[in-house]
Amino acid sequence: MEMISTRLCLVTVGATASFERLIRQVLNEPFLAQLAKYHYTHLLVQYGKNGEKIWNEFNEKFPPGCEQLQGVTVGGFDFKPDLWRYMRMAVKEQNQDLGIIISHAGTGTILDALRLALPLIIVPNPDLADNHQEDLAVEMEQMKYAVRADIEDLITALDTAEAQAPEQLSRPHGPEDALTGLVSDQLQDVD
Amino acid sequence: MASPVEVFWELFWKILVPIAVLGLLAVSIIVASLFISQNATLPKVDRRGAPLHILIVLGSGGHTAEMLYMLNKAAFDPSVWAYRTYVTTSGDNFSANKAAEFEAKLGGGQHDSAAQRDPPADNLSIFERSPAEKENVKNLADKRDSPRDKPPTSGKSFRILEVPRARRVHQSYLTAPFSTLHCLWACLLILSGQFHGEEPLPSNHETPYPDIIITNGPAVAVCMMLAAKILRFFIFVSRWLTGRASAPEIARLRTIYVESWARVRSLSVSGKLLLPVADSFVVQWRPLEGRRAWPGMKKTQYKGWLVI
Repeated sequence: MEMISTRLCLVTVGATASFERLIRQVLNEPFLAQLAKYHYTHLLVQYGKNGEKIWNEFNEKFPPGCEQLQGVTVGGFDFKPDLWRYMRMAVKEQNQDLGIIISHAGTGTILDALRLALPLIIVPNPDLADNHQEDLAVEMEQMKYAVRADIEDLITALDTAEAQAPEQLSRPHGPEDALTGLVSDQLQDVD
Repeated sequence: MASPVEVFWELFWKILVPIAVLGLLAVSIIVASLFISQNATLPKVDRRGAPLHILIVLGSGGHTAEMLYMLNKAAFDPSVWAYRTYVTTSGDNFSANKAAEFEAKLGGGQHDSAAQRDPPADNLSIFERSPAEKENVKNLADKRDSPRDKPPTSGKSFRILEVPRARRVHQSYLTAPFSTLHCLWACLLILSGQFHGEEPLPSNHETPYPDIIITNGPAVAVCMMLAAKILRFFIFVSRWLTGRASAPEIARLRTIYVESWARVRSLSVSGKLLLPVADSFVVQWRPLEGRRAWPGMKKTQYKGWLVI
């Protein structure tokens, strides 16, 4: 039997702040159509604290296998402590095409995506008071590790991300013994 | 009968002025001791193989993830960082579990890495949308969280301690000072080895004080580093009073603050508060390099990314 290879788009909003606007944007026909255009087979959404209502609405409106899903299999959950396990499903492997991660500017997700060398779209949450996520997103885009996008521009951002191969992280980014060095700086050892 | 003006002046001289003088004195002592302790060079001391005790502060999700990234990257030698104390806040099982997992792997002699670990075989089951399946997945998750499957929270060379929260999300600013004091008190107890239910250190450790405190910015880090400074102040004063001020001694309770990797151009609130307090303040982006609390204080250091 021939195995069809999967291609995953994983969307995550993190555990602490809710980001309903991003969830609404991806659980929607235009975005699904865009995914289908680039031959994505799976969409997995970590919808966070207050996203369950949107997820349930989506489930009712678009039951599995319905036409509007355009052949994309959709899954969702509120939170998993081991999200990287699901991010691994976007790594290019046997029966797996290189997928993409769409993330609020959460540090953990960005670092995991860098480590797995996955394409990444960062959508900073404009509702958060502090704009340091925006700084990080801009910096990551300049370093070509990610595409920075506004919520409304997600579809164009996917076009951009598809057009460019992601920069591979030149590891390690800084000396490996930095932390242990800092600790020994604080000790007064005689040599 | 004194006129109201006279009453006012008497009040002014007898109460307000002394308070102001005392306040000014207290502030000068605090500023001076921060200044002195940040700029003092440590005398070389033979540690005579005294085992290192490292205290690592974990915070909410993001901070914990970053700290574990750092520990993984550092790949420290567990025989050099001989004893590790992890501090989490109450109700934060995620951090406690992560620390326990990390130690379990350390015991197994391997540092974990997302690129190496194997994914579970049932990954695709996450896409099942029928309620029955959902229930199943939930049961599995509950089982995985049951206590008997959890890695232990203390061992021969580590322990995980839980302090009360400094401030809950959405907590009123009226009650926040009290819970901050509560948290500070718990930190003082932990650092001096008096914390309720605290696992005792192995007998080869001379003092309950950790040698090094490493943190990256959750609210509890502010309490912990202030607690370390307060203890050091009292240790210094008592040495001075007993005439041992200049006798060389192993300095303990040294603090290392690593600003979150997510901070590119501005310091976090914890960072701003701890800039004059930390012995070593590390930033992970160039724009933050060389900042200091006020002229004459230590500058922040840039050491590349510590997280990856």
